[in-house]
Amino acid sequence: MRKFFSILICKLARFAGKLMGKGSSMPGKLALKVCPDILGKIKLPKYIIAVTGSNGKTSTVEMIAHVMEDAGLNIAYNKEGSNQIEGVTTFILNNCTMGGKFKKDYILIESDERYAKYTFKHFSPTHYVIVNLYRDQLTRNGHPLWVYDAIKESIPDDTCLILNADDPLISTLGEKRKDVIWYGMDNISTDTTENTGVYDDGKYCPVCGGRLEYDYRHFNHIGSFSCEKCGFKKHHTDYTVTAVDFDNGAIEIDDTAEIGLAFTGIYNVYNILAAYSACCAIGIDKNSICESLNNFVLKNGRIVRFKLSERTGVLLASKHENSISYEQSLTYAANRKVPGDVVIIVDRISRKYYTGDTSWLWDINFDILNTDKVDKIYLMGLYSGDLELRFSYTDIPKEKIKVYSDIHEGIEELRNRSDKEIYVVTCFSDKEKFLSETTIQQ
Amino acid sequence: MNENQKIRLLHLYNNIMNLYGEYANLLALKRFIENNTEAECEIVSADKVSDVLPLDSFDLIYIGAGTEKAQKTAISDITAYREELKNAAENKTTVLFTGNACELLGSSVKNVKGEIFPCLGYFDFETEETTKRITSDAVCENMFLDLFSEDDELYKLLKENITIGFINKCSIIKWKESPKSMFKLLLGVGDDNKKTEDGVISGNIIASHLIGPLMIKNPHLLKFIAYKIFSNRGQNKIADSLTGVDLPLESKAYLVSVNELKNRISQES
Repeated sequence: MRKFFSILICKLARFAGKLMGKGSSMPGKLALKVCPDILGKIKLPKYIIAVTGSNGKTSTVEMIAHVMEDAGLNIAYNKEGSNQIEGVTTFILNNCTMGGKFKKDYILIESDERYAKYTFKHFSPTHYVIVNLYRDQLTRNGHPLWVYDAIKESIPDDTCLILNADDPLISTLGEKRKDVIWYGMDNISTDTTENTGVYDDGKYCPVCGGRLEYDYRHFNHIGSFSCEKCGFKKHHTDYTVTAVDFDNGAIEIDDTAEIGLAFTGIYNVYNILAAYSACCAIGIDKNSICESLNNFVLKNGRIVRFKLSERTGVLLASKHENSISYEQSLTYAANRKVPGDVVIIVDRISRKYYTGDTSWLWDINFDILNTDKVDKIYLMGLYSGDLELRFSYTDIPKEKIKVYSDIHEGIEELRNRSDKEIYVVTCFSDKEKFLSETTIQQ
Repeated sequence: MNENQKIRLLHLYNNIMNLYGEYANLLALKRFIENNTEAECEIVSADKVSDVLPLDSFDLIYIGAGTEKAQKTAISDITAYREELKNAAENKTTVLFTGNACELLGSSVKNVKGEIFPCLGYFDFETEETTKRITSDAVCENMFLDLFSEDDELYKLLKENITIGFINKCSIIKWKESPKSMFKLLLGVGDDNKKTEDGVISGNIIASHLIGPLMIKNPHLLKFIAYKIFSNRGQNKIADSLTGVDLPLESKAYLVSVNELKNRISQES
């Protein structure tokens, strides 16, 4: 009976919430109050694919969903992005019958890395993709090892793990497990052998504490690592990006499958590879996966092309409080063929919670922008003073930097300054403040 | 150390106890000293104490925040140099530990498995780790300012400027003595995870659980630490002159954050 009422309340609350434009967590919260183990009482389909990690969850889920839908599979996924247990409960109960049977053949879930352990206490994903683990939102996450412990706790014994073999910390999750699928990237032209970041979270072996050596690093601690002390090293990969051509926007997987890139950032390559691996794992034909992912444009608003008067530009939504996400966006902006202006906006640090902490700015290597490809750098928003101070510790010439605490004022200056491309690096919390004054292009 | 030697700043365990951009504290201090005095200043980074002995050759020994695992590595190294560090602090070296490095100064840290790690034991407190992460912006009154009541300028500086920062920890500190605290929390939580007091100051030893680049965020703390360094060298004139230095970039950023955090306090009350 409690099961019935829990589902009923969730559906009614969701219906009412939609009418009032409310978020998707509350119905699940109410349902869990009525029946705390409701997720364990639902008859779930044979395949449940979950995705977690620091960066790229939403994009990877969107790609997997796109491939599965193209393949004609009957799926449901939490596209609203509510990825903690309340949001997942709302999503599952709204996709099941009043008798508690999930209506679709496949469930695809984006799961919050710290809260997955609560969700997967009630049911086990058949396939669990863990994409990476970085310094991310430390003002609520503590630090990567703290999150690692939470992810480890979320892994059921009978789940097939799909792991990023290039991430040392993530790789330890596959140690001594049988059912693991590994994906990774071979050496590519943009790799380095040394760490180029401000800090190095890949310096020490996560197993024995010995020093890690790298044959190559794709970025930060992601690459081909090995520990001389205990022998821990990058695992042999089942799915591998064997070639990357950023100039022509294409990658090759396992020497055969070619996929065009709608966006040439390296994190996009990883998201594609994770999605490819997950889709292969559930038996979708490789050719149809490639066809679906070929030049796939994400709809989640992470990359937005816009026009500002006569100028064109790209906004790269990069989480504040995530240095790796930021550095990848800065790298993209600094490596364009056509020089441009870069805009960095920090006005509100998070859209989900309040913090005024700007320590994370010191984890970002802003010297990436110290190149001829970058003309002027506009620092905008409430925390533009913190940005200006941070930039004063870089080697970037002072005359390249312009500071506007008022975003509108900065945009007006930008509007007619030149005809160069504009690259905007900011967070979801701030992106609309910029985009609302532009014309968004498809 | 003599007054003509260059200022030496030691960032100890910069490889593992540098989780929230703490390295910037040393950069700020070096820039401030070099821009505003005749002194040269060098930053020395070390993974272990044995590489940088004698400790009293440094004007400042700094340790920042790390993971719980990294902190245990630091404890296992530093406790062998208990006397050396104490002697340095009793001589002329300022010792500054922030984030969970401040826990090294107590008698022990107990982890969630119940394992106890003996620490330096300079102060009579115990630390107990929990499974709960405590994170919060912090706004603090400078409780330690009365120690400097004889220096009008410094006293005024510390009186007029609240300290801002962030708490990010999983531990609770239980004091068995009444220390001279660094801060009174107006926002955020103190050593006992209540809105009380944080940190400790005694002689040249200064500690706080606030994380990150505190001296970047708080120009008055930057000046205070520089003041300590020069007054320890007997260069009181220079020490005094530093409290009045204008830091426009730092002050601009500081005032924005203070304003925001004060609004936050009003909303919460």
